[in-house]
Amino acid sequence: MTKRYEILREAGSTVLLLGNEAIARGAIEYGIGVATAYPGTPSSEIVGTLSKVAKNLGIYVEWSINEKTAFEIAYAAAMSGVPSLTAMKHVGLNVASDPFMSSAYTGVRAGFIIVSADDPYMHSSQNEQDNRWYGLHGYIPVLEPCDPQEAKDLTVRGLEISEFFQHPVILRSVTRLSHVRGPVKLGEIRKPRIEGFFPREPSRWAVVPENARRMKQLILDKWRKIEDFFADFPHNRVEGDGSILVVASGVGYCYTLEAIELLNVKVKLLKISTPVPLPRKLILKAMDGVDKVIVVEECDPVVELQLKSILLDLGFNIKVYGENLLGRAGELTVDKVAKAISKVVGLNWLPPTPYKIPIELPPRPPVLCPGCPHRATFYALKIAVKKLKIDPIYSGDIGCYSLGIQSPFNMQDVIIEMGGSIGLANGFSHTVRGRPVVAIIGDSTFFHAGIPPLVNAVYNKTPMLVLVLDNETTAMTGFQPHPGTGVKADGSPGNKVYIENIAKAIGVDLVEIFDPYDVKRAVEILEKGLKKVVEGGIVLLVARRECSLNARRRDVLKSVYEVDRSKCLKCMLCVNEFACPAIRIRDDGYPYVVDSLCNGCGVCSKICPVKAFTRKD
Amino acid sequence: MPSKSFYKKRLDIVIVGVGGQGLITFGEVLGRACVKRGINIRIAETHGMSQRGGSVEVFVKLGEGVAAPLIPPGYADIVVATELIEALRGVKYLRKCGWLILSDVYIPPPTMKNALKPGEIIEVLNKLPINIIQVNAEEIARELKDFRVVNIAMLGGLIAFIEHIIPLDIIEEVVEYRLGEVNKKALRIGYERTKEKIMLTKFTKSDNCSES
Repeated sequence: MTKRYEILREAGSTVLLLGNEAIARGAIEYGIGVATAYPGTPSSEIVGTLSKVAKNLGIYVEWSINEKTAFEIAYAAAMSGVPSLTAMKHVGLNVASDPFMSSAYTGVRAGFIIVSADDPYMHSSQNEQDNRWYGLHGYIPVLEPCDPQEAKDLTVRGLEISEFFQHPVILRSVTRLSHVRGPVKLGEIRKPRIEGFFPREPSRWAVVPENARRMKQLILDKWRKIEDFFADFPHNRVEGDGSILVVASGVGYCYTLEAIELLNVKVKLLKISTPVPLPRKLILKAMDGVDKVIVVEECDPVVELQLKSILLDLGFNIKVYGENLLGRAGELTVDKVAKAISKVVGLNWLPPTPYKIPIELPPRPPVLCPGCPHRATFYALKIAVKKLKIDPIYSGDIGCYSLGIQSPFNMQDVIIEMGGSIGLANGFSHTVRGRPVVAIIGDSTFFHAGIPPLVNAVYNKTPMLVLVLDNETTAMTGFQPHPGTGVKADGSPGNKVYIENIAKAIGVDLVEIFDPYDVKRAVEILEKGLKKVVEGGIVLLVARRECSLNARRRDVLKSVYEVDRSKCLKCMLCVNEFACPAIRIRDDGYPYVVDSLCNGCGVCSKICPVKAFTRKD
Repeated sequence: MPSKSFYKKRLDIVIVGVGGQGLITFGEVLGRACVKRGINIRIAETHGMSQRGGSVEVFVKLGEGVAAPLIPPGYADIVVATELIEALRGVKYLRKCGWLILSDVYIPPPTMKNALKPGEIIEVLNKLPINIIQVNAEEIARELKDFRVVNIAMLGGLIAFIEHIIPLDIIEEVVEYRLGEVNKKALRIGYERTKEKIMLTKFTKSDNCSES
């Protein structure tokens, strides 16, 4: 019997959907045949949702090795007449930007939607880039929904627009859309189009200079047509009337609605769902009888700058507010927007003063989970380094193990981007003398962007230790499979790719695998590897152990540990040097294990000098 | 009955706690029940890095005309704190005379020395112009021999306040379907014990909030 999936419910029903699920549903309703992604917060649930129903629908869904490959697969699908979706977090589009920038030149033959989930306030990201710029940069229109219902609707419309203009379309989401749940009324599901054809036509698909020069002229023409089309697009609309115009894009619209209600002011509201290109005919229409304008948008002044340029062209001499009152950093709130609008309308409005607690609250940053194999690896690395009396540079990367930046490990000296650990290690190795470089990278990240810089190191004889923290999943983003797991997005078996085999094949000097739970052996191998690097070698070590959350779920890790108080010396090594969240200190100074937190990895029992931790069975 | 003060067009609820306590599930269950009842709702949550044992906030807004996903400080009608220290962090969201539904779960940050003790936390909270009721969710979890039910026991406590909006049987149905029998029990016990506390006025009502 086939499982009943809520995401496939019949048209007309209303269901609670996460913004990302709503985007997935929109793609299903349009009848896409291909969906691809590399996971990244806050985008991961889009393809995650599609992967679960791929078999039911008969569509092709995959977790790709990185965003560039994901983009290319969906792009090729749309070239061959199969509508497609590719989804990524904002910084993922940087990785895919090479094919992205040329995709406007060739255009497509079927609907092609590129979902960019931006992360204002950087809840789970290294920067706050506003990917609507990419639309202006690449001549690719941007749609920006305000809530889960519109996320679904604009995914369908976006694919239609893409197919109509034979041009890629960006759907820009943000954290407070992708990770907001709300009621969504479902529409009809069209039959997916899964089979394409690709007639030989290189003049259309090969961007050699001669073709590209011609295509550039076509893009400029298309761009004007798309702008005109957006002027009458029903998701852009004027609401209310007044001499003050609030132009609100994306989630900015939702905050504006509540802010206007809170302030109880009469303004004209222009809802924008197509921030790029901003349709000038619509602006002209909205400007009738207006003497002040404020733009509400999350992050950068993408609409504001276009609006100012349009107003200048149209000969308006009007004050435009926006960035000057709302800033460019962080997320919008109703209060922020209300404060900004109140200034423009000349009200003296202040938000309520929240309660102040008279004591300083301890911060609670995210930590490595109990039983996390990365903690054991960091612990072993610290001991190996101490034994050898060296002071390595720890070149870090993007993943759960970024948390190794915290005490007591302090082993992420630099974190920039996916694969950056090995790339930067190539540089440090040439410039910093007397300090070996250790690149620390996760399994999924290694496949994503770690292989080319590793080949570079081998080719250029650049000494380094590449330490792959292999927990056999993409844990940070929600346990997606990757090439090292040998499982495909729909759960069916794929081919397993071994990290150690790649390293051996390209000529890394020393390749070893260890289990971080076996602390003694881990220290020995790390020492051996570090020595080799000091001598000028290139070493790759794989610390392989399943993520403790997965292991617990699969019942591989059972039972919990406890402290034998007759043995414990209260040396606090387990608390101060290992810092497992399941180990706490009682008022009498003895450490104890919190049953509800312990995942049963047993590493505490291996590092305790008097073997005071015992398994509770 | 304190729940009378929640007969209004909209309700803003902030759920605070520690990553791993099931706050997203809490919000999702509430949301599904609302959709069943035809009530408009927005739930904003954070995923990813912040979930690894860090502080977590989930914003729930329900009622007609609700659009914006976040609740700014000073607006929430109810704050549900599934952990005591996080209650101190989350109380800034409460409006004057709002209700804090507090659990008995205490998880001091692992590296913290001389953490504030539960008694001291409640003492600090009692001085604020808010109303406080405690749901002994950990006790319920211990009785049911499953620590994962803490969140749903707290949800039961919340329902005791808002059953005029979402009746217990609707939420029970969702919990049973999504999470199974133990959670359904936790929900009911959380609800009943909170209800009883309300009846017996076993809660802290601020002197500055006499009207409701």
